Order: sequence, then structure tokens, then C-alpha cells
Amino acid sequence: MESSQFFAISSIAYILAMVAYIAYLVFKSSTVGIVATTITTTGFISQTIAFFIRGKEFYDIGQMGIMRAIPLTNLYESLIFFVWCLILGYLIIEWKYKNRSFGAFVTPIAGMALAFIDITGMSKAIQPLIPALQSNWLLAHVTLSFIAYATFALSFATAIMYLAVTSEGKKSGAYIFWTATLGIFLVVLIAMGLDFFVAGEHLDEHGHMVKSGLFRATFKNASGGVAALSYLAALGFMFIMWKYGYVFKKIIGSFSISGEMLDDLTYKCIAIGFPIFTLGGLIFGAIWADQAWGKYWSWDPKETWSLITWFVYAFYLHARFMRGWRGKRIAMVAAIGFVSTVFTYLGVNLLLSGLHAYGGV
Amino acid sequence: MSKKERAEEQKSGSAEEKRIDKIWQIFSSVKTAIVLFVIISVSSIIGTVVVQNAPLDQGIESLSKFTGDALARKLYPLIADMGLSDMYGSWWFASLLFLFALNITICSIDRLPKVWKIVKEPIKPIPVELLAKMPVRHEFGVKTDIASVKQALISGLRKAGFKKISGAEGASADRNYICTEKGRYTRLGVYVVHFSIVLILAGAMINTIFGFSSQINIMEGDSSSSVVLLNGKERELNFAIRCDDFDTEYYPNSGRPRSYKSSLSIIKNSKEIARKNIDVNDPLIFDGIKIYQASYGFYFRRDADFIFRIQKINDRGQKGTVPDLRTPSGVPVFDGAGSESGLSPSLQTLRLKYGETFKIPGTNITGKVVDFNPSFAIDQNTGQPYIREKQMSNPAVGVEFYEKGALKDAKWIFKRIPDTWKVMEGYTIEFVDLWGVQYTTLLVNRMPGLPVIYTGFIILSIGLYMAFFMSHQKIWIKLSEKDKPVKVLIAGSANKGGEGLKRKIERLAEDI
Repeated sequence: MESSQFFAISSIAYILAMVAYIAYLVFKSSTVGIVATTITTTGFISQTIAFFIRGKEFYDIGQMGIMRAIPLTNLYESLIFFVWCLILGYLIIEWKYKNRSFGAFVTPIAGMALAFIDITGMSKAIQPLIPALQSNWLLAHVTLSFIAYATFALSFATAIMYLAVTSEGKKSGAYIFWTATLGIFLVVLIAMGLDFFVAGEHLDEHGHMVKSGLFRATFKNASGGVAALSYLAALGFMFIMWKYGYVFKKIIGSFSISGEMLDDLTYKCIAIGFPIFTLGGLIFGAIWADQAWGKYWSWDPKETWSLITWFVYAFYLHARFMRGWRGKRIAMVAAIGFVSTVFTYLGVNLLLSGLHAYGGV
Repeated sequence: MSKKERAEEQKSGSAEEKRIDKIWQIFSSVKTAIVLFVIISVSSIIGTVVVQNAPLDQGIESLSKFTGDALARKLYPLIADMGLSDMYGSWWFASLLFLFALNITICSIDRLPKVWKIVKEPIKPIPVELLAKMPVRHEFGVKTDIASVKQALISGLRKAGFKKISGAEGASADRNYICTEKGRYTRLGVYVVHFSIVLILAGAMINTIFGFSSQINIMEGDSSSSVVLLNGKERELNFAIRCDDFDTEYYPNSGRPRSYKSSLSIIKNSKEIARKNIDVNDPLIFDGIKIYQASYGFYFRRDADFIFRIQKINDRGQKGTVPDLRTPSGVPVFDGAGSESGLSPSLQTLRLKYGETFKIPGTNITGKVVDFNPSFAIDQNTGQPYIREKQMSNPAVGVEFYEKGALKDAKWIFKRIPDTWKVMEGYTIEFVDLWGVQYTTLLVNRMPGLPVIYTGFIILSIGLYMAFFMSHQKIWIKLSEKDKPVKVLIAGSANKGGEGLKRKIERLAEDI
């Protein structure tokens, strides 16, 4: 079998797992919970196999040795790896804390990342390494960066859960913040889902799938009416999120997850992710840049945004330890940190240009 | 200096001292650090939206993605006038980074004495009543005698990495009291991190003041001793760089470059003193100056050299030896892919100019170079060849063959397609290169602060490890033999990650 088949299995598994975990959250049936975990684990194993097969395929095409056969050289491969790290981190937390409710918050992030691949029609082909990427630093820099991204994603999930559990009253800032953030995430997820269903329609004059068809079914629709309606629907959805967000709170609250534990988990994820990000993303990146480009730091958008992300998490750590911030305020900082991470990872490549262009769609 | 001391000094100090103290206080506050984080972040964001150090039209184009074309046309020149199109090189951005470094330094100096005091002070036995209030506690009874329990605890602690165990040698007054600790110095981790960041910024400052970064384009065969700095000014090196050859290698059946490399020579006092084939990720280092392969380009010159290699197809499939290809100045040319097939040693290596003729040895056929296309492609609508780009991505040479003065054949010979080399019965003509039409773009820089920066990287890694993955753990153990089973009370505290210590203590108890 080829790697793509195993990847397809894992993609389906994670999307099913997302449904299962949400069902588990709603119905609280332990059978559903076990099913969700089984599906996730199956997807994870399949993805691990796929990763090795793709490595082998890469090795055969590139003919550059094992160190240069790491399938982490374009956006597609990096998204797959990000999801792999995320699921691994989640499974560890589920096993350690004996609590499945996080799954409903983590698997949508995984599902979103995978849906993003198909919607944008990004190239899944194995692309042999361009000269700048032919370095042993590729492995260290990219893997560590994505492990860090995955821990930040986990901290985001727990931070949002924390805000959901602890915020009181619909007019409090924390309540508005978490319902809005989660609302935006869900709106994007739903919009991408719609893109996915109508994807076939967008062919260019040569019959090729149009790339970056993101939001083409909704916000960027050719018909202005549909686009306007999409914005209205999104606003309506956000309003419903705000209005009925407390239902979430009740559901999560019924799972004996204390705010304290969520706060602690958020911190732990960041405490693992931050040093890894500093070492793998910034230090190794700088060393590699020095070797390949002759500049350890060139204020390239990717570099600048990783610095901004680094600052946000440094802010988190200082606010927590030096100013004694706890609770809602610090959870909001953690959530903002992940928004910055997402921009560093995807926004830079989709909206800006620069030296890290090989990560583009 | 502690706060108290400072307060006293403030009372007695002069106005100037008070002012200094005030500044000190501002810079030692975390609030300032956070304000700086925010200012640097926000201004950096501007720098990622407004393309830096780019020509006007490119800047407008990239800004138009956010604002629309019409607005971008008006806005970008304004932004450029404000100095925001070279933001990272501006004095105010450098000052922000300097303030950031100052802030970290003063914050650390301000807090260090307090932490140092803790680090310097070894663990002391604390009253038994207080042990009950420790965050981590474990109490159990053991049936054996107290001496062997103590021995077992000590060896267990040693195994867990606690080296210095006080009370073990009976130095303490209470023989049944053990206390130990480890990782006292890890409390300094944060300061190690801060120090390394200051070091990295200092290294960057050394580079800005004493180093330089420049670019230069050199045609194949040319040399240059002056480079162009980022601000457009020229700088003379005390040696010349000569590009002997440049070559791009592509992946099979693809326009994706596999490697591009330059063969460079360093020339000083008209003597060649160093030579290296540089590649992306593999620079030439000479006299503290690094020369990187950055980019390349194509610039057609009529006097460039077409290099061909004529070989006879060998029936026995013997591998041909690779002939020594040299340019007029006697330097090697990157070899083509020809020597892999079953060819005899080359009959002839040719170099000729546009329009010149050559003879195939052993025959009375002559060839003439009549056309050249650096990136040969066929237009799908008209079926006509055209030049796809001004790069040597698919070089092809048009050759006319004559026999006794009469045109016999005309062919395109492609550098990258060996099948097109078989032009005559039994002969191949390999198009090795058109030498002298490509230029290499080199990045030439001197970064004297680099060792400082790399030292900073190492220290930063160590500091992060200390700060995030190690902790200062303290354990106190009180044994009492009042009751028949010996009662053991283990209490511990850690400055972070209490679970690790808890697990350690549980394991210690299990072992006994």
C-alpha cells in the first residue's frame, strides 16, 4: 500500500473521532468514549505507518540518504506531522489524566488541519529537496517546531476549556472571549467543511483544481449575495455561541474537570512547548539560516512571527511567575499565543511572502 | 542591593541618585518588560506587512493585497518616507532592542541577590511540626530496626540522585533526622536564559558595528574585488573573487533545481590562494569572510564558449573516462552527465563561439553553431519553440551539419537530454555547457559577533533546560522509634513540578 492510503485512513479516523468525542461529551456513555479512543488510536497507528512509508518513498526519489529523506518539506507534509504530534500529545494526556473530554476540543483542531489540506488543493506530491533544504538541520528544526506547535495547540484547547468552566455571566470579558474564539474556530471549520463539499466546482480554464479555494463556498463566493449571507450566518452563529455557551460549561463541568487542573495542564503544555520552540524553532532555525543564507536572522516574516509568538509565551510565563497572574487572564494569554502560532505557521505563508516560501500552498 | 538598602540610600542620597534610582526601578519592573514585548511585537508586525528593503513597485504590490491597489499606491510611498520600509535597520528599532536588553539585565541584577542567597544556603533541618505542612508528604511504618531503615533510605536517596545527605554521618544533633536536596543551582536557570539573550543581542550588535553583509553578481570567468552593501554602497575587499564556473543541476524530468553551485577562486596579488566549489548550505570561508551561494542569473553574451564533447558509441559498453574539461584560464568546468553510458573515451572536447564550425573526427562532416535557447520549450498552440525564461533551465543549441558543403541535417542538442546527443551514426555530441553566460549571486559577509551569538545559543539551551526541566527539590525525613514499627515521615518541596518529587518519594517508600 502507498502512504496516501494510510493517510486517508487516518484522516477519516480523526474526523470520525471528532464526532465520537463530541457525542461522548453530550451523552457521557463510556462505550462511546472507548469507541472514540479506539478510532483515534487506529488513526494514529495508520498515520505512523504512512509517515514511514512516505519516508521510504521520499528516500527512493531523493537518493540523498536517510537524513535527507524526512517527509517534512512542504505544507502538506508539515500539516500531517502537526496532526500526528497533536494526537500523540492528546493520547498521552488522555492516558495520564484518565479523562476523555479533552478529545472533543483537540480532535476538531486535527480535523480542521486535515480538511484544510483538501480544500486548498495543496500539492500532495513528493517534491525532492531544493538546495536550501538539503541540510541535516531540516530534521531538527522542523520536527521540533511542529512538536512545539502541537503542545501550543493542546494548551489552547485546555485554556479555552478553562475559560468555559470558570467564566461567570454572559457579559464578563472572559465569557465573551472564549465564546468568540471558539465561535471563530467553529465558523472557520464549518466554512471549510462547506468548501470541501462544493470543492469540485472550481476548475480553471485548463480543468485544474483551483488552488487556495479556501472560503470559496462562503465568504469569498463569486456571488456577492452568498458571501454577504455567509457573513451574516457567521455572525448569527457567533451570537448563538455567546447565547448558549453556558451549555458547554455545564457539559464540561459534569466531567469532574477542575479549573485548577486545566490551568495546570495549560501551563504544563506551554512549559514543554516553549523551550522546545526556542531551541528547535529559533536557535536551530538561526543556525541553519546562518549556514544556508549567510544570515542567522533576517527579519523574514516567518522569523518575525515566531519571535512574536515567542514573546506572547514569554509574556505568559512572566505574567504567571512574576506578576502572579492566574485564572482567566492567563488563560486568555495562552489562547492568544496559539492564535499567533497559527499565524506563524499558516498566515505567514498564505498572506505574506519571504524566505520560508516552500511552506506555501 | 536589597530593597531596604536601596530605600535607605534613597533617603540620604542626592537628587541625582534619586533619579538614577527611579530609572533603575522602571527598568527592573516586569511591567516595563511586558510593555517592551508589546511594542517590539506590534512594530515587528508592521514590518511583516510592509515589505522591507524592497523596490517601490514590489512594496506597492505586496501592500495591495491588504489595502487594494489604489490605496497601496498612495500609502506605500508615505510609509517608505516614514522609514517603515527599512524598519529593522532603523535607529529606533535598534533602540527598542537595546532597551529590551537593558531591561533584562537590570531585572536580573535586581532579583539575583535574593535568589543567590537561596542558592548559597544549603538545606537545614526544619522542626518536625512544620514537616506536616509541606506540600508533599508520605508517612508509613516499617517493621525492621531503625538503623537499617535509615540505611535503606540513604541508599534510596542516593539512587534518586541526591548526593549530599546531611545527617547521614551523624553530624546533626538528631540522629533520626535526614535532610537532602538537589538542583539548588537550577534556580539560576531563568537568569542563565536572560544572560544568554543579552549575549545574543550583544553579538548582533557587534555584527552591526564591526561586520558587514553584502552581495555581488559575478559572471562566469569574471572576477570582482568590490561588493555591494545592503545600503547600496560599494565596499572594497582586500582580495578578488573569481567565478570559474557556475552550474545548475535539475531533478530528472522536472524544473526543480537539485543544486546550484559555483566554482570560486580567491585571488590576492594576482595569485590564486584558495579555491572551492560552493553550494547552498556550504559556503567558502576565507580570512573571516564567508561567501555564500545565494542566487544566480543568465545574461547572454555572444562571445561565450559552447563546450561540446564528441564521443564514439562503444559496442562493448565500456565506460568512458571523463576527460578533463578546462576553460581558457585553465580552470575546470562542471561536468555534464555524459560519462555514465557506454561510451568510449572522448574523441574530442570542443569549445567554440557562436557561428563557428567544427569537424567530427574521422568523418568529413562539419557542424556549425547557429542557434541557442537557454530554456527551450514548445508553445502548445503553435508548436513553435520559444524561450520560456531567462535562465539556463533547459539549454539547447541549434547545430547545422554539412557534408561536403551541403546541408545534411539540423538539430537541437539539449544539455539535459542525452537522447538528443546521438546526432550521427556511431557518434554522440554532448552539449556540456555554454560557458560565460551565467552569473552567480554571492552573499559576502563578515560576522565577527557570530562566536558570541553561538555561545549565547549554547547558554540559552542550558538555561532553558535548567529552568523548565529541572527543579530544586528538598526532602526531609524524620524517623521515630517510639512505636514498634518504625514510623517514617517523608516531606518534600520543589520549586516547580511537584509531581516529579511526589513520584520520587513514593518510589523511595516502596523500596523500603
